[in-house]
Amino acid sequence: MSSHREAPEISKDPVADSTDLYAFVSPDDPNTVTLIANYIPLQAPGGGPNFYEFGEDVLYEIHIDNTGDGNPDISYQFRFTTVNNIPSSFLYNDGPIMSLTPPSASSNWNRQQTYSLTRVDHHGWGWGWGNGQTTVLGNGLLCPPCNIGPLSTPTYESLASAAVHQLSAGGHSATVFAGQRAEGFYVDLGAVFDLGDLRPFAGDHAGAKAAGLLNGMPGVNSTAAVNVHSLALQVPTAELTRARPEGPSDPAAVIGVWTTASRQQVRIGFGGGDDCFQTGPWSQVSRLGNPLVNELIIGIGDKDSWNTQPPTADGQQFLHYFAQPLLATLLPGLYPGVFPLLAKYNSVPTNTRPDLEAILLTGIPPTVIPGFTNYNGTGVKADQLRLNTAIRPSSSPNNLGLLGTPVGDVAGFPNGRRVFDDVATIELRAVAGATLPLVDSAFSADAAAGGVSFGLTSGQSDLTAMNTEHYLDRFPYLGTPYSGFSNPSSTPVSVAP
Amino acid sequence: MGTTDHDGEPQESGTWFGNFSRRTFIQRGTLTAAAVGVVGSVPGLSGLLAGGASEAPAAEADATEFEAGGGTLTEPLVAHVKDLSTGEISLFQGERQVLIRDPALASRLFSAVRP
Repeated sequence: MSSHREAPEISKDPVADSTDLYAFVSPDDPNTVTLIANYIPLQAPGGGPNFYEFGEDVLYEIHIDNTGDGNPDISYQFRFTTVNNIPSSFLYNDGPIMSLTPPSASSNWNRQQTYSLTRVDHHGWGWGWGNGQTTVLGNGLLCPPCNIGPLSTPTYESLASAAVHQLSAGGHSATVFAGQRAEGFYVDLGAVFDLGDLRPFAGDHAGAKAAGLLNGMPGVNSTAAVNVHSLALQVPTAELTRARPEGPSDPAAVIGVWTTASRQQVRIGFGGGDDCFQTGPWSQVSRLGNPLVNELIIGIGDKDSWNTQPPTADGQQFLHYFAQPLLATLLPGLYPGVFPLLAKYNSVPTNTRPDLEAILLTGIPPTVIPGFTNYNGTGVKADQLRLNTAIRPSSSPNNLGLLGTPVGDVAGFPNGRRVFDDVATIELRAVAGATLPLVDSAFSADAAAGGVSFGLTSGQSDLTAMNTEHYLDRFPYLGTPYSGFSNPSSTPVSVAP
Repeated sequence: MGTTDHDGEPQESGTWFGNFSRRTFIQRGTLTAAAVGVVGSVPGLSGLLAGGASEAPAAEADATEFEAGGGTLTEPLVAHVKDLSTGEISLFQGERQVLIRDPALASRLFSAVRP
């Protein structure tokens, strides 16, 4: 998965587990950038009575590097508070939740969350947690409930809309939403973790004969009917870049984005339910920039450590994973005879993958793809989702983003990431060698590298993963959460009730 | 903590990444809970911190004066004895960590939890 349960330790701590990160120029308001960080993976819609919620004891952050040094220049911090409105009830709600109101003993909604949003400007304050000029953009902001069902949340969309807050303070502004949404990432988990037997090409897999696998099987969207919790921000672009860019070729147009979750270093419990406390400095336990990095690039022995490190560590102790990714060496063995050119390239011990380093660690320099760059301008290697904010949204988006054919969509991944981008396919093609010729003219990619896919879209213009995803055309863009009453079912219902 | 007997300035650790892996973070948290107490909530521990009247070194008298000066514990304070031989103790309060060195205090805390 993009980053769901991607490391041993964080898989045991779902509320702090970042799952996906999106950054894109807002298609309906191109003077703004939308940032979405998802947490709490694989939520079963009916998972009550204690439905999913953010961690009160977790500090959630979205960071922006606008100078290319790998460190945050701006951070947005989310901190949550939970209230039991009806402590004597075991139910999430004891009547329909018809409106979004502050916590109250007279509410039908029992367990309710609010949050604060703080912007931290690190410029001139030095590097380190807690350093910066802080602006509290909002306090007591209301989260929506989870989508329970037609009797409990009969007007779910209106509750979610009421949870979109317009904030302004200290010369800064933001539109914000924090709460449950439909999972937007689509991938065939069952196939990829079954030794990579991608269904459309399973007949070419080394184990096809033994398992009776055939080519042409349709992919399965394993995350089609689950929910996540989203932290969504829409911010004027001018508040994120270091200067007003003169155009798409101006390095000032590029921002690097990543999200982290942190816990305080000490927790002491006294054995009485929530009778415990946390204290001490915040210690990072989860990190996410580009999709699938910790999932498919970093070795399992280093995954927990990777989650605790800043992005600048990627160019140091983790660089070898990017330079010679294990998945690229496995592909020729899993699919015998399908990737001979990749196998030959891999056989030279000194060969590395500068294409992957550019895509994932530095941004793509201006000379690689005519008319496009999201290079950080410094060459500092750090896993960040890099967005050229001066590139306008596409009027006809291609879910393969820059790898779209015959012409790439420069507004899509890996130039930031839109909710509908088929990032699993894009990254798999890149790892298979499709992007290597861009930086190594002596290398020709295998024909299969540009054709491999998870089989989850009907084509490059399919922005719904064959009607298994139901994105919104407005903030917060991810779809209405799946209702607990209606899911799971043989036909997942994506809208309330 | 400037009045405590430590052989150097307190070292504050507030970096958001530090060198804590998640596993060591949890392990350290466990050791902390097991090896020390919450100052102010463990009977007799405040006396330990103040030092026994008959054996308190001069520096600890300063600590006693600090407490007598009206300090109020408004949020938990946790001490983590990291090394008995050097007396390294990490103090956690709020979002801060302060490192002190006080072999005598470390030894007394250890004695207090020995079976």
